[in-house]
Amino acid sequence: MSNGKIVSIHSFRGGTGKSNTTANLAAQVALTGKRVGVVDTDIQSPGIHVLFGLDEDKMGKTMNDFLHGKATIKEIGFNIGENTGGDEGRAKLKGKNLWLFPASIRGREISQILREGIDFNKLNEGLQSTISEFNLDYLFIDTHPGLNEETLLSIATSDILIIILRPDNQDLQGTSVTVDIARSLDVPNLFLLVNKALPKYDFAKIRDDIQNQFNAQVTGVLPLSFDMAENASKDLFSLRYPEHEWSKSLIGVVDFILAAK
Amino acid sequence: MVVAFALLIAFAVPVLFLFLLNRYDLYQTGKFQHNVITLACGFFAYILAAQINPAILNIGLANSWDQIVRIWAPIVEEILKSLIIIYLVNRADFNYLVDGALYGFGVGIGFAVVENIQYMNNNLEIALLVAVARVFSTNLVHATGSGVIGIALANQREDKSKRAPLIILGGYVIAIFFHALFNSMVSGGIAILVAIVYGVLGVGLIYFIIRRGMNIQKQWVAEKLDMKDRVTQQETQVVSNIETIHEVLSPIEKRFGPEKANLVRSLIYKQAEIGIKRKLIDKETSEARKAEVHKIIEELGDDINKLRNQIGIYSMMMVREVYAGADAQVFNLLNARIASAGTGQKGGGIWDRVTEKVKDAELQELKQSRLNAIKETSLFKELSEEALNAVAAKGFVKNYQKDEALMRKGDPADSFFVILKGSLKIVTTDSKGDEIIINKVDGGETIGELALIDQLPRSAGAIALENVEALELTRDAFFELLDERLDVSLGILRGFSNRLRFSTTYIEKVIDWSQKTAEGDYSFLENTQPIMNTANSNDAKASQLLFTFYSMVSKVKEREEGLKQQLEILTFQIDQERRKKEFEEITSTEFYSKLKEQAQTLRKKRQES
Repeated sequence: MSNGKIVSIHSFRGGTGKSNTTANLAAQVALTGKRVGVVDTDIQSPGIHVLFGLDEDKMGKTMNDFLHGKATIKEIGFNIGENTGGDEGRAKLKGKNLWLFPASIRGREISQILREGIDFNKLNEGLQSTISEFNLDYLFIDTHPGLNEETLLSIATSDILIIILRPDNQDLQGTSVTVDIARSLDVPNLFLLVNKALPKYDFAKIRDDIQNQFNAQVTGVLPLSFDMAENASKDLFSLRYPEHEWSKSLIGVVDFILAAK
Repeated sequence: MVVAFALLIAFAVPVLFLFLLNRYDLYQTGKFQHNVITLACGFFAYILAAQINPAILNIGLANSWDQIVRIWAPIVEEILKSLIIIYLVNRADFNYLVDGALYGFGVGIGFAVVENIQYMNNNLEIALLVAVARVFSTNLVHATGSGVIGIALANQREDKSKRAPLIILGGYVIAIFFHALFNSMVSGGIAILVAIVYGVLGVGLIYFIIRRGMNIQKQWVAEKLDMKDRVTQQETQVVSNIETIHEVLSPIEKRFGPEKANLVRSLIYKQAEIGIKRKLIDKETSEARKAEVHKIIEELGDDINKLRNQIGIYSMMMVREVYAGADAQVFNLLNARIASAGTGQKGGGIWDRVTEKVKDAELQELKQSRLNAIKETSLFKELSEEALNAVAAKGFVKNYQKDEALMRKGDPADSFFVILKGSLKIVTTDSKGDEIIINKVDGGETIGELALIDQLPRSAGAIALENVEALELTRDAFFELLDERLDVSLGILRGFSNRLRFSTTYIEKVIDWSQKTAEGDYSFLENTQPIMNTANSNDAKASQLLFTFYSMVSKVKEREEGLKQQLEILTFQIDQERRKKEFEEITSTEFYSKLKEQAQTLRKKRQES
């Protein structure tokens, strides 16, 4: 079995900036020289492929095809390092080992497929073969929001689970259940990442409070940034503006990922 | 009318001429009254000559009036005119050949003016013409003749060698020959224009001699002005470049008016005169005159001292405002000269004196400001000026930069400080080792004096908040002071008792604050700094109490605010029941049980691999 790690990025609700964070984290890890893959499970809502500059026309075989046995995993991997395009941030990924594994169907349909035909072991085998075929160090899974069976499957197979939440009551409530589930499923590395924190709050205090609440590592508190909202989905923000507060905090998360056993 | 105008020319022009010559006297050493005397003597010389000349003809020494005019008149007139010059030149207050030349000019012009009037009287119908013609010819010839003799006499006085009589003789011969030639030409009927040219040439000659004489005079000045007269090299430079005196003085005049500028000008002239006099003493042959010159030098010295005193404060301002002003081109010039003259001798001279005065005044000012600061302290405020001086004399003034420590907590207390200038913070550390500012101290306050008496280590540190000037009094100095000065001891005792009384204010304050805190009113925290400053916070224990209280309330307020903020964040408190319920909903499914099982197997497998 490969040493590559599965990193699931999850959030209880939509709108936490999950896809954006996933893409940026994956890119940052790739920048350190690691071989990284990103599995997208939802391209209908602003998909992660957009962040990597992948046109829907260019998209060939998908995860869907793989799960149905119509394509090998090799055929699905889209090499970002060879298709960086002209955008300033993404250009930094040139020559890096980063692959995107797009899905062509709704997440819900995937979970249906999973429920119907593919059990946990099959999914895990699929992910593991993805890791071994591409000799990946990290495979990021951008999961669908909420706690459905699909999410549970990805959590169960994760080596690292990063739960993204906003510092508000609802997110905290939902996150609390996810945290309990993750513990129940023995996820070895459970990380919390607070996003969209209003700058008026004391970030250190937010981190401490949430950490104490869940007894889990808060890897970063990222500010709500209009700069980022404006740029989002066009380019990889943390690559383009590495000095920005948001980017600096995000890059701080990379260390936790790299240090995770 | 015409006659009146002619008379005016006859009088005014010579007088004006004389005035201009006088102005040209480089160091203004000539005495104006001497010039007036020479003019008057010129009149008398004419009257005498008018008697003697006909008498010569009468006693048969000459054959004709023409002979008188061409030969005898020049001899008689030049001798008569020279009598007063001989007297003036040999006086002790005589300076140098320019004076001699001027005396000659004076007597010559005085003579010519009367002669002119006589001629005009004889030719009233052409009086104006006579006036103009004679002013520019006869006047100048008489002036030149006597001027030459004046120069010769002046030279003789400075010459101790045997050729002195020859110089006098030469002077007379030249003057008489020059005069005789003119008279002959006029008698021969030359054109008026030629006569005028002749006169002007004569004056040109005198001018040349005067120029040469002045250069010699300048050398004398440079050579002879020295520290005996409290004249520095720099001043000597100014004096010997006397042509630029108006440049030197113009900025002063512009700023302080002509009166002050004239004082400085007089001072410079008098310094020059001393230089000349000293040279004259060297050359002096007569002991009696030497003594007299010495006396004059002394008098000049007195005058100079008076002038210096009159200039006094003014000169200080001059240096501050003008001399230091980079805009004054002249002073740049002067600075350059002073620089080229090398380092001046110390202790005298106008420039040095001025610098000294500035320094003195600044020192005095500084001393006074220090005394004022000492007097402001509650400890010393009862002391007299004299006692304050005694305190100041016992201490050392020390300067501290921003963030520098005057004392640190725990240091042995062997001195105390009177803050003269600047402010500092009194700091201690809390249990975590963080700095707590417990007080702010400004100029006019003392720190650390209690420790001198109780001899305990410093209870707090003092760190400069800006540049601080402090008078440090060591324990020894302090006790010496108490030992030597009963008034100081009493004053300090009064200071202490004042403060003791003052401490009740602190206690009242604490009571007031306690009540406010109890009511949840923390507004006094914001207003505390000024309270601390107006209250003389030297009383260590009282202020410690006050500040402990202050920090306590500050922390209470902080905690309260923290609690408020925490509430704001923790409004997203987790509903634990709902959490539990949702968790159970998910985990109770068959799907989950299977998943969990599979996951466990997977983890085990991964661990094994």
